[in-house]
Amino acid sequence: MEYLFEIIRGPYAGITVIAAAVLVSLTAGFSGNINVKLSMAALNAASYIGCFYLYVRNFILYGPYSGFLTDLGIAGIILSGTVVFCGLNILFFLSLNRISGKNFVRAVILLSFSVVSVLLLVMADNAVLVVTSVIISVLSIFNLLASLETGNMHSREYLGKFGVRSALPAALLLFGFSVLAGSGGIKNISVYASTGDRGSPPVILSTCIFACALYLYFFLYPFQGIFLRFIRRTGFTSSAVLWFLYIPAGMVLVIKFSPFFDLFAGKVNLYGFLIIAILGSLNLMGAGLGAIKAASTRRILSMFLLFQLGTVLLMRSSVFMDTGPALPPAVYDVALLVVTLAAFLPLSLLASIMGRKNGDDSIFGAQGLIRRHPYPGICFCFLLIWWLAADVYIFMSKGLLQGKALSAPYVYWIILSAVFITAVLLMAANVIRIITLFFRKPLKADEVKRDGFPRVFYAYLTLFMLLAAFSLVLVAIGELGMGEDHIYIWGKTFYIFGNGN
Amino acid sequence: MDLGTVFYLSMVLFFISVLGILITSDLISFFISRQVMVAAAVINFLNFSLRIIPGDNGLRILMILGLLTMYLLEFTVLFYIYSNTDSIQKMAASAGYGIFSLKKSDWWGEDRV
Amino acid sequence: MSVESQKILEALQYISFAGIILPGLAALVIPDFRKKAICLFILFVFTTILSFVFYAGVIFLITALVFILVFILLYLLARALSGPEGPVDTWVRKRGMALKIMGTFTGAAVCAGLGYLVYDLISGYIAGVEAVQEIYIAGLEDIAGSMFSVYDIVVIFLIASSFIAFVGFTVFREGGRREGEAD
Repeated sequence: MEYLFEIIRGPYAGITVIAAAVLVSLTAGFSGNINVKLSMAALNAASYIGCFYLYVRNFILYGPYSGFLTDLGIAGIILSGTVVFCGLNILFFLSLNRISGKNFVRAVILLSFSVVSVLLLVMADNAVLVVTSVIISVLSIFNLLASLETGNMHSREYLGKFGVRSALPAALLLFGFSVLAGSGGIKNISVYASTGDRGSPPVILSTCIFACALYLYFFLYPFQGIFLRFIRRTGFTSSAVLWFLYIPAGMVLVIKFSPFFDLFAGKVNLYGFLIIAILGSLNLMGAGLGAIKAASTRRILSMFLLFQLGTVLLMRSSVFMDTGPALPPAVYDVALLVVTLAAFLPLSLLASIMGRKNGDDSIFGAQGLIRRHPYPGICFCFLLIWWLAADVYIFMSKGLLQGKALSAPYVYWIILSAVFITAVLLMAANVIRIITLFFRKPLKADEVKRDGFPRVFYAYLTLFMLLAAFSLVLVAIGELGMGEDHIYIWGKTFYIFGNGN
Repeated sequence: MDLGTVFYLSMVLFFISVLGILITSDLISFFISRQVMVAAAVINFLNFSLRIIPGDNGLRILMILGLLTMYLLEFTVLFYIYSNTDSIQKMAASAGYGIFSLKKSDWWGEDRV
Repeated sequence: MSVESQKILEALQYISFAGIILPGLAALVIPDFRKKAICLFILFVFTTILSFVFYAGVIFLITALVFILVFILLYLLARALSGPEGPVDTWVRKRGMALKIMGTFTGAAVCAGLGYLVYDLISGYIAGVEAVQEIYIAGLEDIAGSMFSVYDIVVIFLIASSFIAFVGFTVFREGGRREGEAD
């Protein structure tokens, strides 16, 4: 009975709801009946919402949860909400594009299980649970991609390569934990934020191995080849899974391993700074330049995402500039992740719909979008500009120009500013290129069709537009912003990585 | 052998696996290099659980559950490739697994499907 | 423990490490896929022997049983990819031995440099660590007791993921046989 009570009031309550939905979906069989498919989709969507509701309810009633295996505070609630939101969106894309497919129910089951794995990763604190949830997340995402790509001959080769390559970070993580054991055993990850042996050589060595594992996980430059080629050959739903489930799971991992990465804070280290800054700038420039000549919308969006990850990496280099108490870069990781999702989710849906209309995913299919469909066109222009502006705001005002970094030597300033400004200009050129394309005359001017987009698309787009516009207004009037380790929303301060709430 | 020697030998194994991953471009060699890395991790787990923290079962459980999960992932990926080997050309199925890609299309322009 | 059994254990350690490192290197060099897979199996056998030397053989055997399945599939794949013309080593055929040797030496130099840095970082710490003298033999009942009491959620999760992976396998087999839908 106590065990049951522990599940109900603990963080597993939400996951149990999704697991129950998966079980019911399994018993529905691999049905081809459209009504069964719709009800399974609705059931799983309701389970995601119920899961998040239980997380928030248990947090309000019982406060943060900390156990032997798990640790769930407000940061975990925010990340869990983000993961559930991503899952809902992918389920929506899946229902829009693949409801008539034979594998629909299986894909929904695999998607729900992937969401469960990533949610477990969010709350995991013990090394055993972290390792198993990372590997099972990769496994379930791979299974989901395979189920979505059954009919696609072009992507099979690259899906296999993607699977082989994405298993390498798992092996590196396992090896990293084996080296960490040499520091006197493996404690829970959150304990490493304050424990005395943070500076011991096995911890430093394992941190370097974890960093390499994460770098390979994200397929950052110069390892981007297989990821880009796979994206180019997949369907839009599979691309959405990679962008909005695989990448956020990686960001969860980055935030989870922050206690290790932050151990370099507190001392100025030019070599460490140079290594991370060079890698960050390689990604920023590579993505910025690569997107200029790209014609495929999926490729362009992937480059934009790699640019975003390069921003995260460049912000992490500021840890080596610190001359005072440690900064929590993880706060900015969360902010950048939310901004990425808010801008790219509607963009990917546009790419999906245009791809289905035109038969390919060339960006030139969107030429003249504003002339044919003014409302979506203007919304997308706004979202693209908002995304870039939000990046600059987060990086410059909060990552670069905040208090402690101002006392770092000039060489750091020159390098960071030069790199970021150049990268932003490159990305601005890309954004201007896309916006200019929207304003041009359509390719087939005599065949302008007024069939438009589905109504649900307009509602979906409007929701994100309102969120973006609202955040802009709040920042402008000073009611939304970020301090060093907290955010303030409408007069209230929320400490994300502390117990100040 | 003492603790230090065993640890250095496991690091030698790790760097052999890193060398394999850097220079190889085929599926089997890539997979084997990764297995060598896993073997190095197992040696570390066994070494430290015996010599530093003998009474603690956490490391052994991490080793068991981590390896089981890892093998499940590897089995799934290999099964996928094996199931599709008739539709993927043999050359494509055995090559192109190298970690570095210097193809122009990965850095600039478009890549043709 | 008697001196003789200590010497036997030490000899076994050296043999095991040699049996792990040499097949690991051989697997990189040998071009034939099937022989590479056989080197991997030899490496795995010696890892199992080493786990017995470290008094944890029973524990490693649990995972070894699963590894056999993975190895069987790998061997079948290696055989399928080898083909009648012999080993498929596209790197050598396309680019020639000179480039391959240069690439290998560059990789080896990078690894040697990294290895030196690691040695420099950790040698002082490792020299100062006092290894425990008493031997603790981990029994399966201790491990199982901990696993099913403290880590029960992880075990349930692993079993569930195996079941879900089976759902994925049904998709893989279908996908190999027919054309289906795509976006």
